[in-house]
Amino acid sequence: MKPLRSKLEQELSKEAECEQETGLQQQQKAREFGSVEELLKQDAENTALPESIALRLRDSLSQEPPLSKTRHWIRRFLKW
Amino acid sequence: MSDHCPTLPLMEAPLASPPGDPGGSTEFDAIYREHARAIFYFALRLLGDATRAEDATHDVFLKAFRSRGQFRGDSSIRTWLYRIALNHCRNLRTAWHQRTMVNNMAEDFWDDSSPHAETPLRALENSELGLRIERTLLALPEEYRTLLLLVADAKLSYEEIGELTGQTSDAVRGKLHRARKAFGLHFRKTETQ
Repeated sequence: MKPLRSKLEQELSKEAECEQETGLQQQQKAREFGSVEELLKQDAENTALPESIALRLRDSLSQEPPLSKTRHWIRRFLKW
Repeated sequence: MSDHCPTLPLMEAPLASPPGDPGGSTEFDAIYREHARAIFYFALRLLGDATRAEDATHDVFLKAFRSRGQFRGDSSIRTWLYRIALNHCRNLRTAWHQRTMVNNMAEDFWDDSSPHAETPLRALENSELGLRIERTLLALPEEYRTLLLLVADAKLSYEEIGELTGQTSDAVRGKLHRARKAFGLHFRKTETQ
């Protein structure tokens, strides 16, 4: 009959398993990128757009005068 | 990460603008939602500073709004915004006279025919990645950095990149080849830093 493992042995074994799993997870996080573009695309996807830009822009644009209809018409007529 | 982009109620009432012109508030909101993230990323990696990139993105869209009447649709709106962003960031960098680092290094230095130059780039997918990319890009000549950032945006063609940077698409291809090599070499060096 197989002898019962001591509590200490069981704990050590669990710890070792945990360490192995953590190591595997860390390895999985490392990724190979086939090209610089792929790497930069991933970086761009990881980069969040700060909401403060939209708020500031809204404030700035609320002070902007509307585009003049006349100027617009002349521009289109003269093909500027 | 979420793709959420805040709604931008730019104007209380829509502007009188012809169809297809990026003048109306609803249209400009849509333009912001579609392109702001790309422009912010471009400014962030070109300038290497988040606060300045935020300012630059704000200024780029403000300039775009002010000059919306001049947009004739000869290029895509994205290309138009990139042109404004590129000019704006160049002006900022010229004014700052900073971040000189190794930008004056001879191009030959980056043409190293190291056996590792074509191997895949290995990196952890976390904040370390952004930091290494930033270090790498800032160590490259500005032209290489600009070309790599533009070509990474799959929505731009080589012809459009050539138009933006004032060169032929063949010249863009040639320089991109050297830029990719230079990036790869320096990126691997950042692993040990």
